[in-house]
Amino acid sequence: MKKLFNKYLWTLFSIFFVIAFIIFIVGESVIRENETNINYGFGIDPYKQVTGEDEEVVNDYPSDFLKADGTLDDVAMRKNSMAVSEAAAAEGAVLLWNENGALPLKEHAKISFFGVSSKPKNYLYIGHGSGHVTVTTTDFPDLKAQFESEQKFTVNPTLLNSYPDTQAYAILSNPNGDDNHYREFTVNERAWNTVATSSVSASFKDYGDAAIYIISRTGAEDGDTWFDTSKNTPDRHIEDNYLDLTKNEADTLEALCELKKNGTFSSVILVLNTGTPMQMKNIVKYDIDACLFAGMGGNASFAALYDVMSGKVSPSGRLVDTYAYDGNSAPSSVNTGAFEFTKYGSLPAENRGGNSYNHAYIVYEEGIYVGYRYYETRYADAVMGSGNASSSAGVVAGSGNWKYQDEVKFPFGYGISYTNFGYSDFKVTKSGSDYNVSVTVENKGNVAAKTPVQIYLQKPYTDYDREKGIEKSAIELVGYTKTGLLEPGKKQTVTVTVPEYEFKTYDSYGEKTYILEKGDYYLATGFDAHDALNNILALRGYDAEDGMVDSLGASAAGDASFAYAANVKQDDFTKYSVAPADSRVKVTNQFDNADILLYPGTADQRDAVTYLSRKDWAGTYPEAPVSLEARNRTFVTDMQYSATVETDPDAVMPKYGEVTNPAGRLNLVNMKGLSYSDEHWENLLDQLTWEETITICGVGNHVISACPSVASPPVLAYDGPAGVREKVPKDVGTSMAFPGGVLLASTWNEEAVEEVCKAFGNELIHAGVGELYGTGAGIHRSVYGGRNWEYFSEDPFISGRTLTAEVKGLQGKGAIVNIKHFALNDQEIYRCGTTTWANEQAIREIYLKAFEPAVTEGNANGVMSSLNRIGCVWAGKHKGLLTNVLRDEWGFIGLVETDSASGLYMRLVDARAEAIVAGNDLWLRGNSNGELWTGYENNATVACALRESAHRILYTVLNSAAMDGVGNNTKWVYETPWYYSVITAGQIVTGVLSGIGIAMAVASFVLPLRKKKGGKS
Amino acid sequence: MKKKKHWGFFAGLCGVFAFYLTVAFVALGLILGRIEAETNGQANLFGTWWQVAIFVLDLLCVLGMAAFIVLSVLSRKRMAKVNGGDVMEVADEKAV
Repeated sequence: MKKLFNKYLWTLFSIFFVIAFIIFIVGESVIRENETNINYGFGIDPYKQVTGEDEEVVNDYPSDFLKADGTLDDVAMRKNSMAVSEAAAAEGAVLLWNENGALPLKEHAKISFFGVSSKPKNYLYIGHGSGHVTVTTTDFPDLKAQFESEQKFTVNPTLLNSYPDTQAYAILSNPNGDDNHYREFTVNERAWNTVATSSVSASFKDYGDAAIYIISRTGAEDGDTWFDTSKNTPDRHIEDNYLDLTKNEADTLEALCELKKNGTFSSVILVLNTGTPMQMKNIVKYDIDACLFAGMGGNASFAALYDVMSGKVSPSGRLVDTYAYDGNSAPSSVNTGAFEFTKYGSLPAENRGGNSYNHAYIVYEEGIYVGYRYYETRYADAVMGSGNASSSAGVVAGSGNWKYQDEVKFPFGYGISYTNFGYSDFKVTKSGSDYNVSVTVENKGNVAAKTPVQIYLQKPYTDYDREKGIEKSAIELVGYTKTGLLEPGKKQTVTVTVPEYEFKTYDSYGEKTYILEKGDYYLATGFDAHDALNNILALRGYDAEDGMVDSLGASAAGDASFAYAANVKQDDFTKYSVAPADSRVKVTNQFDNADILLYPGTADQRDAVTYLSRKDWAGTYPEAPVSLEARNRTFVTDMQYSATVETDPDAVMPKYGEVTNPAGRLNLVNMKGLSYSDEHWENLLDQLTWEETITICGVGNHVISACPSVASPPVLAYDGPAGVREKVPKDVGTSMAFPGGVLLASTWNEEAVEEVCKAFGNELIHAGVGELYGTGAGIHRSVYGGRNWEYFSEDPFISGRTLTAEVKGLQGKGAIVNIKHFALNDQEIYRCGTTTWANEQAIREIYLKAFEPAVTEGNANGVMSSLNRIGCVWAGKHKGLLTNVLRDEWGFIGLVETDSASGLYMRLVDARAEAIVAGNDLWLRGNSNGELWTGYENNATVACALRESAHRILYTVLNSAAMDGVGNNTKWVYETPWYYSVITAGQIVTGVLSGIGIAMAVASFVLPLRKKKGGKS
Repeated sequence: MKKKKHWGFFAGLCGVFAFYLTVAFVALGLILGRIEAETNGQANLFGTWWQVAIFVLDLLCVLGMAAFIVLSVLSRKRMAKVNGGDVMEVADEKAV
């Protein structure tokens, strides 16, 4: 009895189970609030579809790969994904130089692969971040098996086996302990003396036909590549720059070139396995015979590499970024990085753990001069002797005066082949307002190959431009196509249509709309942007004596026969001042609040910014990062997490949960075929309850919630754009990584890109995923952008064309595609809430232009609003961006979803109210209580906006593959997830045990007292 | 007669807290790891100050538990010497 009534034991017992009981009780409410997050974590879909056996169901987007019994054929589908990826990855590879016939490899060559990336687990198939797809390296042959697959080559096994299986790169999160959202990367190449051990060196001679060295560089969400990584890496970079060689890599290249000199190797070939341009200045110091940009090819990387290096495919990719000797020679690099206001007033508290960076800014001081627009325009002005272009301002890789050939190694659009192409018969004809540009391409070599045909435009730089602060690039891509496979000696005439729409310019400070100026507009072709510019300069009367150089920096003149001048006789400031899709919509400034020269909140610091101008390169080249303060009252007010929602006096509270359709309840499937503006939508929306409305808009962590009242299905959503992340088709069991965005854009082949994305769409169907958080079309504002690998290019035109092709491919298979990150989210540091400053011309002509055709031509059905602020306003509540431009000007019909909404400025109730009114429809966030428009239940403006957002979401779902398998009577029944049973059981068990424990503890205290009183022992 | 200190009880109390703090520490690591995996990052068990605080508290509880167990054993021995026999229950009764 004494042991049974041990009061200490029972007290401890009680404490233990009371705590457990409290955890289970509190845990239940926490779990209910985070149910969507938990479901995503456990892969639970709580809604079960109930469809009658003989019911007719929608089947708009069937898989292209079905077995005879009608079930999904995962294996055939994956085989197709691999095949189209291999073709595209091979077509995107860019041959940068090829001396001494180093490539293609000679048949029966014995070759040696160098570098940690030669091992399958070290190669970078794709970059990092949420777009990353885990590649299962056993899904495809490794380099040795691949290169020996057709018995054409033999690979040095001793060398390959000497490299570690897992070593290549490492990601260090916040290595300096500052939680400001960045990562650093290490290369971890092996030191040469550990590679060339005596036993391994002995194998070189026997496999000496080619030394192939693979160098890899990643990039990531939250991981820009501009950081000085040297202090954290065992293999320091020569320039303390991740995009330069590390010392170990340089040692390896030097040793390989020495081994070539002494006859051990016949050639040295460098393979760049990267998603952003590497710094070239140290690479070019070595006597490397050939250099191939292989990009990130996903699962098909090794197959594509083999196709190109073996000569099965002649390289036809062309660069989509300028390859500079030094990445810092781009003016944007001056204002790339982490910048915080030097002084600030009462800004919201910095909440780094809550992903709200309220003290950061980034200024696009370079304006439109991004990538080649800077290098080529400055070159043109240097040739023409204007704008102080030859001054020393901005000299980085060179010395003395600025020279194009000192700063640029390979221009935008550059690339060579195993054959040579000749152009002839360049013609431009006008048809209506379109210019049809045709040219005949002849394969003058001995190998069948394709080649892109690039068409560029030069607009006139007028006195009006100088007066109004309008900038004009000396060259811009306005069209391209790709030839078919041309056999040696064969010709093909291709035609590219350039609409006059491309001639327009945005006038931020004068007319505040698009204008068409009088003057000469030059259309030209060339093997790359620089070559085309030279052809225009030749037509304008300039030659080598004026300092012209060819694409590789040698003195040269252009060829005027490949340029054409189209004269516009009159200024026309009205023609393009209305939206093409709807002439009632006036196109005018929407981003004055992001321009330091126009925003009232920066009225006290207009001098802080000097936009780069070709009026005076020397006087406007950014010498140091912009220094901004945040003290002005307007500025500080606009930075607050919430403001008052503008009330719409005409707004009327919607109906909730009412069946108003005269013929009875409507299900979403009944709306099939009806337009967005069909009146029956009002009846359908009347059926939604308030809870359903706020849930479908506000709770969207990797799902679009189901609405039982209208029988709308839940839609699973996963990250892109490299492939379907996490969810895998059952019969293949692994993920498929498709080639990265840069490599796809480098194909200059929209059909190939669309084909890849059609395969991607099939992967989504087979994985049961309806929505993709991708694909991306941010601009490579600098080479250091962490997500450059998943975006496309420094050029908005090819970015827009590639994005459009991707959207067509994916949506053709019924996917909901959230093109991202909209907009001005071009670096990762402080991306959660950083203020972004740029002028309207740059915003529209560079950053929005990449998205525009995907909406106007590709009919994109989804957009992801970005995490940054535009000016002081979060992109997700920027009405000018999401409503006035996206919807009104471009005619977007679809849903706008936030990026991961963890920042306070995105998810607090008032911020949500403002954002829903501004045009953001859906929140990528799983929490369901407290934040969801609480207090706005009776606010007609917000309620109407929520209803409209629900309309957009349901319309998008209706026209997607998510409706396949749904019939007129299909219902979505919520089944309580299993973990609630665990919680309930835990509550009962711990509750009972707590009770027993407390009772026994009390008893063990009381009984001895009673015994004592009773005098019993 | 020396009054008995209830070191065993304190050891048990520390053990209870150590148990929950350990569970919290591991669970947080798993949850944060899952969240980080969304962006392909890696969560650190000591990534935030409160993770460190939980760990330190956990450690203190474990150390406290060990210390109290030692004290409890020593106390038993001492009581055994003082009372010359069976300690626990007798001492308990007398202490009330």
